Amino acid sequence: MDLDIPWRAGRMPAEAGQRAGSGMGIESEAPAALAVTALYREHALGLTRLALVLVQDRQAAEDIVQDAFCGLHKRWDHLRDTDRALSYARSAVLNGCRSEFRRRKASRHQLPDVPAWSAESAALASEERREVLRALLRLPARQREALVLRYYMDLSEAETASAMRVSRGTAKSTAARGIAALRQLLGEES
Amino acid sequence: MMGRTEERLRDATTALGSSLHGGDIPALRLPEAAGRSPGRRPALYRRLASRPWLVPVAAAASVIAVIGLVTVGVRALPGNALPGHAGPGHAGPGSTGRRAAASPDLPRYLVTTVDGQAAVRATASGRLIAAVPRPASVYAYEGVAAASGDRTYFLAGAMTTSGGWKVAFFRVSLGPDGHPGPVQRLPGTPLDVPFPVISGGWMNFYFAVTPDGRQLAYASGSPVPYGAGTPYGPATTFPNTNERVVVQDVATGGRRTWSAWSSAEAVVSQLSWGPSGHLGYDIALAGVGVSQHRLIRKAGGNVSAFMVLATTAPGSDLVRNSQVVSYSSSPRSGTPSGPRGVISPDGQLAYLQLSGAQAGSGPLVEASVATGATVRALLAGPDAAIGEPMSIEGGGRYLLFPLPVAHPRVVNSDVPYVVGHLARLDLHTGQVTMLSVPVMAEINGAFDAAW
Repeated sequence: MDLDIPWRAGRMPAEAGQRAGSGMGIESEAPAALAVTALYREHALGLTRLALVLVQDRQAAEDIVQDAFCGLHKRWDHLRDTDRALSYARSAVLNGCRSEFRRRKASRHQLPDVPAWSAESAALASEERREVLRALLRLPARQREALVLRYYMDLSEAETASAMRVSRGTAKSTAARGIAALRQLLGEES
Repeated sequence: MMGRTEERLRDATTALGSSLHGGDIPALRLPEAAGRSPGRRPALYRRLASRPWLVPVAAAASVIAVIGLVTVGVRALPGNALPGHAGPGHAGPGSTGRRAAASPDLPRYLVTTVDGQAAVRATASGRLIAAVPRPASVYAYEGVAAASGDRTYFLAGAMTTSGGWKVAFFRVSLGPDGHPGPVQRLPGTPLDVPFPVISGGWMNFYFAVTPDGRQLAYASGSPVPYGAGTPYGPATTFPNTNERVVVQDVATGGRRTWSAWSSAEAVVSQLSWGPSGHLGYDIALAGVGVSQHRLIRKAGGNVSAFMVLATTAPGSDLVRNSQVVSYSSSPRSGTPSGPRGVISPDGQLAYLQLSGAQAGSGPLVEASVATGATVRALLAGPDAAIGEPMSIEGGGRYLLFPLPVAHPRVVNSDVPYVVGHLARLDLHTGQVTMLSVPVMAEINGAFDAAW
């Protein structure tokens, strides 16, 4: 037996709309939360990309950035210079990436079954690129960071040094050693 | 001057980085200020909140609120965790790590409908596999249900005709690589709908399919004033409505209908199938009470309940043919906010979000369908604020649900914005894993997801 049935449909009643509004709107928050949330909106994509390039695990990258901003929020009132909050966040992301590698090492973690590449970019990811990324993962953490900051983030030597919390000379030499190591891993001639 | 190695490095890292887009980034979830203590790591906070049985191990004074919630759940235990289910003190492998290892039981794919489009996504990462083709007669997909086995999905398609608006059901099978095959329209007269099905995402198109893919079930007749994955509030009874539940045979299109009491102003939402024709559903009613797992007429009573309808039994009375598994009631005007949930594929258990002080704020528990007793608490605290739709995969291990963000970014409430992300709960370990699948509000048509 077939029935023609009036279907559920309709606009949201006013009462529910008020509920929705109260639950959905941005309510008054502490200044720290507002500031950190605003910073996150502006820079989460870039920092998550940075973490993704470093750890090559999308879920881990998202976790690292979330943790970095939660840490920033917790320490917000103690920051000496909130104008440098992005720099602090970037350093926290680098620290998070180091922790991720330590965790992997401690648990003999294999790279997860989670593809770092989205569906559309997977088609564009040539074997050549994958080879470079695999080689990048084999570098010591500091060299990997220096290379990613310099050649992916396009940071200057001074900015790279600041993010890594090392001297400018150390950042420069670390990047040079990283490039040499990467060249060797890729079997390229200098 | 840049050498070849540097150029290759820049190219590869840029390609990988640009594979992430703005819409992939989950919203920031800051710990609640009231429950936050100095020195507690945010990651630990989230881990404790999502796996409350770790709280006693941590033995931290700063998590008293979470412990309190867990205690409520444990006190409700009858003392016998079900065989095959790890109890709170026996979290399974992977539960102590940052993320649980994916089980072989984890479905490889899930299907979503958003903005009128249906899409297959990889469960592990949430990445898009393929869009489901839309027949020429369908202008929007409005809902999705999954049969057991991770391959067969059913879609509700909205159509326009000269006489108004109609809905028909479709079936699609996925290949081993997750790509959809041809979309087949099911037999049966399309359903007339009084308004455009797409109405700004404020309505849900609830339907479910049996694990064997032979029967559909859906509800009809009442406005639903809330959307999937959003804290808009519970289903609310509505005057001059009479809810019906319809079961449709997939092969023939034949239908059978159960009607609620017309005076009850009932609203049915979120259906789920157990075995042997048992259909779980959420319902809100007015003018009723509960006595011995059955609804009775009671002036002034407002009830929200999770019920199970025996569709193989004779009769067409939705209320009398159903058993109350869990309920909450209110003598005052207004419908309680829960429970709401789904029945397990084996029909023994229900996964219910209980009524809380606010909609979506109660703990998520595993309950016995036979007795309604809570077997164990699964989520409590902020991470228990899950939304609809919930979908449990055929193996009964993983629950899919939207995890709302605490503070959605609403730049303009007239344009789509993210209100949460899909997440999966491993019912063996309690591990919650957020997927990179945003749940949107103010879209054209309701959000739905199933596996």
